[in-house]
Amino acid sequence: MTDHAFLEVKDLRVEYTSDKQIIHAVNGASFSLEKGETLGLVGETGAGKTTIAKSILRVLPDRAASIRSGKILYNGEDLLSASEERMRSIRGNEIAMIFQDPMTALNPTMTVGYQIFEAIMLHNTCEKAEGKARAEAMLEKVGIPAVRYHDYPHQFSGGMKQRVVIAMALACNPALLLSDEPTTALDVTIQAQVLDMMKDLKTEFQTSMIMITHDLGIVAEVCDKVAVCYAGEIVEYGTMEDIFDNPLHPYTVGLFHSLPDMSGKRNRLTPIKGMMPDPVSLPEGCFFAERCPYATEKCREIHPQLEKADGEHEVRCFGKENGKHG
Amino acid sequence: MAGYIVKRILWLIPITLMVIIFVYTILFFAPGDAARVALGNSASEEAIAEFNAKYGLDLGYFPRLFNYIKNLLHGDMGVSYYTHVSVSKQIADRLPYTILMALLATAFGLIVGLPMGILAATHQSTWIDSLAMAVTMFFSSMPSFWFALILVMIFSIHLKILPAVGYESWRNYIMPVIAIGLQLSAIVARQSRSSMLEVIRSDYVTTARAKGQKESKTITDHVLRNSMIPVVTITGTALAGLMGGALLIEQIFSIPGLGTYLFGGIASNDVPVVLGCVIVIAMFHGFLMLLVDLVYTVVDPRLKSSIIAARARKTNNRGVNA
Ligand SMILES: Nc1ncnc2c1ncn2[C@@H]1O[C@H](COP(=O)(O)OP(=O)(O)OP(=O)(O)O)[C@@H](O)[C@H]1O
Ligand SMILES: [Mg+2]
Repeated sequence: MTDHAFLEVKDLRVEYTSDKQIIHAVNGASFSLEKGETLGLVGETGAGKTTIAKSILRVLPDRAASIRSGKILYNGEDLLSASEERMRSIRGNEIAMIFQDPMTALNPTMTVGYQIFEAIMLHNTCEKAEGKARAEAMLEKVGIPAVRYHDYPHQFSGGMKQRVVIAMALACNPALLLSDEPTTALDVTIQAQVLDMMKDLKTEFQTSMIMITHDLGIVAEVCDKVAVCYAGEIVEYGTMEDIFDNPLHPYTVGLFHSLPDMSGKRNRLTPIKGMMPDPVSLPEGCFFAERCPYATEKCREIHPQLEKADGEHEVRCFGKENGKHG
Repeated sequence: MAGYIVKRILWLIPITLMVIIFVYTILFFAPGDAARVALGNSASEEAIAEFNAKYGLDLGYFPRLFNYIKNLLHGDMGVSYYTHVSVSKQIADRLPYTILMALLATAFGLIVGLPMGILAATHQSTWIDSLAMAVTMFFSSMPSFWFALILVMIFSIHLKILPAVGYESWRNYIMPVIAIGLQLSAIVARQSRSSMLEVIRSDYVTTARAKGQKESKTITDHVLRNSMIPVVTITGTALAGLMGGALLIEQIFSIPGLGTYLFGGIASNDVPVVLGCVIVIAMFHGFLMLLVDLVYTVVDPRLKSSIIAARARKTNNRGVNA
């Protein structure tokens, strides 16, 4: 029926300016997402994952950050050129975001109920009483008794705050949910609970989702597609099976195979030797060349493009042609 | 919460007592002879002895202090050595002018300063911000009596639309209030700007935007309240300072406030006058600081919880000890 994807990020470039330095946080990231799918966005710290998510909603700090180029096509409409008013009607309503840190994501001087109520009233034309009833229902849905509507964030534990943040994000039944490490701030048992809850809510509301995470267990559990992010670009993209069973990029291989999963416990992304290049001065060639065991002269000089490997599987590596790894 | 307020008010008693003892001690040992100042250098020994006996000045340190506090408990602050007028009455007459000026100046400071700070913060690094900061820099670095003189020059001498001296009509208060309030408005503007800029960067403000909230509502609903604590502190402190009277402003505009009274008392070693003023100022200070703390708990629910929690802890401990 439609020929465009549900969400398509094309060649997104975002810079931060601080102390007269330009930080190239996102450097031509491209990926797409179909309706109802969950895309895992993985990568080490500083890779630009949060920046990508905030770009989609256009809630980057306007003084420090600027989106240099790219397109974010949501149902074919470019969000980067949409009016501010249009964006306001999308934010929280069609696309919602769960922020990384539940401790700071809630306003300390507003009751949690009101913060959910606010989201509901912004996008619905209903009576206040109904808005409140809906906010209470959202609280119940994430496992918080409705009587706590009038409590303030500091009266909740970290896990409960995260639930409130989730309730707030889901309050208007968004078509797309951007969840930025929704469980990293929580301890393991709570993590599992919150994750289960999110999975249930996702099925219930048929929400598409971008799941930003460090946790491979979460990727395996909830994601259909995976995009591996490195130094502000996608270095590998594919279905969950592609990435887990047939990783092509040496970085992905490093991430997924450096720690064999023998204990049955979830394994987290383990650091690969070396560091991500400084986003202030990125190398000319492949950003990963410095740390790559297979790097050649070519890798250091020419920047590789994201190219199709097989099916939907894409990789940004010359090694694919050379067949040096995999 | 009510218990907390009562406790804070009761605390004012020992604090005021300490202030009395402190000031009394300084005055007691200060050089200068009240009788000589009052009666003149040519006064006879007998006249001086009579003066000292009349006001109890011939007694020692403790009897005098004791007498003073005893009388104070009956609401009697003594009489001035020179004018022989009751200190309590003088203070009661003058206090309304001081309170009026302090409240109006503070209100002016907030009404002018807050919008300026908000504008500057929401237009950070634009010409609006630069202009507001330049203006506030000027306002906060010039003394208020300088503004008073400039205002008098413009509005009383040149334009002849405002009276330069007096205290009967509301028009008498326009210039003094502006002269004092300008400086306060500058301080309020700078403080609210910097704390707003801090809050604007915080995650929950991004959360509010991500909900689809309008920029203006984000500022009023999410940023303002969270950045008001330092502004409340500064305003409370400024108001408390003004309760002591604004000496130079009172003098320039001939307003019979507490400032000139206290200053006269200090200059002439008039112990009852000084002590009376200091007591009133200390009490106002205590009440205002309590008020500031109460406003905190209204602004920030976390502080209210911590007060309640602290009291609960104390009560529990007491229970355990008993
Ligand atoms: N407000 C900012 N000002 C300046 N630089 C920033 C800002 N926010 C992020 N950056 C920089 O942009 C780059 C990408 O940051 P981002 O937060 O998107 O990473 P991330 O992948 O989400 O990392 P993490 O996994 O730690 O959350 C980093 O180099 C970071 O230092
Ligand atoms: Mg992040």
